Amino acid sequence: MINAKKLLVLAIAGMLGATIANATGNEALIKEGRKVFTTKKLGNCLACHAVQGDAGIPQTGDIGPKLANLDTYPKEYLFNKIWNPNKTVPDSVMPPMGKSHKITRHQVDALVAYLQATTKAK
Amino acid sequence: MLKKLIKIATISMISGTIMFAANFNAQAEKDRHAFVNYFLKKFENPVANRAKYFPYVPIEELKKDYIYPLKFEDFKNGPMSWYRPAKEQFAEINDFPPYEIPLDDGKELFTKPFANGKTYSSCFPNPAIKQNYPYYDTKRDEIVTIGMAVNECRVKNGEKPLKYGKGDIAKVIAYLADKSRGQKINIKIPSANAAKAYEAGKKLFYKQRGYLSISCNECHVQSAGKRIRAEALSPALGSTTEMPVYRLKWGGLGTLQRRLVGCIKDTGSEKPKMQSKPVKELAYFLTYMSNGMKLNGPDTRK
Repeated sequence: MINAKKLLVLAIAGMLGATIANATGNEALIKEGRKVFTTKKLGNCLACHAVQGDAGIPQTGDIGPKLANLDTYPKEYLFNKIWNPNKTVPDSVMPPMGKSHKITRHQVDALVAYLQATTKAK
Repeated sequence: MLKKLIKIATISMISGTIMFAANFNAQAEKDRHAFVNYFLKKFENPVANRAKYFPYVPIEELKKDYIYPLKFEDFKNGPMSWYRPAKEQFAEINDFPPYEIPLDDGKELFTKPFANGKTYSSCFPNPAIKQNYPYYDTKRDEIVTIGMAVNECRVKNGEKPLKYGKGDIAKVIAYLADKSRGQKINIKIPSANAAKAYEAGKKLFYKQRGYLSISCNECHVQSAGKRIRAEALSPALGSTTEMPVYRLKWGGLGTLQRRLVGCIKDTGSEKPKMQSKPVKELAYFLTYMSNGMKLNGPDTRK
């Protein structure tokens, strides 16, 4: 009985811990995504896009739309759009940053995490 | 009777040739009218036509920073034609134009005798000729650029050719450009092969290239009048008038081809060689698009 209780406590603690770790992991990913977005040698996304909900990015360009409400899109859609926009829009001005190996799969995931978290409608 | 027939046949052949000759630029003229028209419409009233041409530019910025309506001639000023902050900045810079010293050097080079005692004047008795370059030489069956003409003049006079793109060649071209200031660009398409070269240049202009997979058109037609970060994108119309250009980034003069290969490299593709066939074709197409515009080079750009 005691053992069962102990196990339960352990299990709950483990679950809580996992959730906290997950949240921290997500935050780290969001932070990394912002870095990819704003760094010229990485995504350089700010050259063309502003971000709704992140007014702290200086001198964003206006070739592409101001990104907003991206939490309403499936993750996979956003990933593919960043990976290779020419797949769905052949003459898209947006560069295929993933396909051309300018950024990694992980960095595209980070961008998606950052954009979905930041542009969420409040 | 036979004589009459021969006469008629000859006349119809000649007129046929003339009609055909006049048609080599038919497609190019269609393209050019559409090209010019697009830019005039785009910059007629950016505030009223925001949805069509500038959907992502904040309306306050269109009202505050955009200069409009633009006329055909305005486009020779690149980003300064439409973007007020750039115009103000460059008006200040051109109080003492940074191209003046290399332009003086160009004058000196142009008038200094070669080892054989002759000067560049022996090849360019009238230096106001830049408006005709690049031209299609039907005898040689190739595009001749002003850089080639300068170097051929040197070789003809027993001198070594200059390196293309920057340095002395840009200075000599700057002198020719300055003497041609105010002349209207006058590019012709005199043969079927010239029309082919034009079409090849056009294809290159619209081709997506490099790891960024972008074309000249995407930035300098579609996105002309928008900003890439804080930089105002220059319109392709009028983009050859200021050449050779003094770029603050270069800290010196550079030719049209230097600018073109630099831009191609920026798309993430291999840098093509200056005076190579594709670069000449691109220059031929691009210059043709600004036919009728007055030259105002050398000028200053970022």
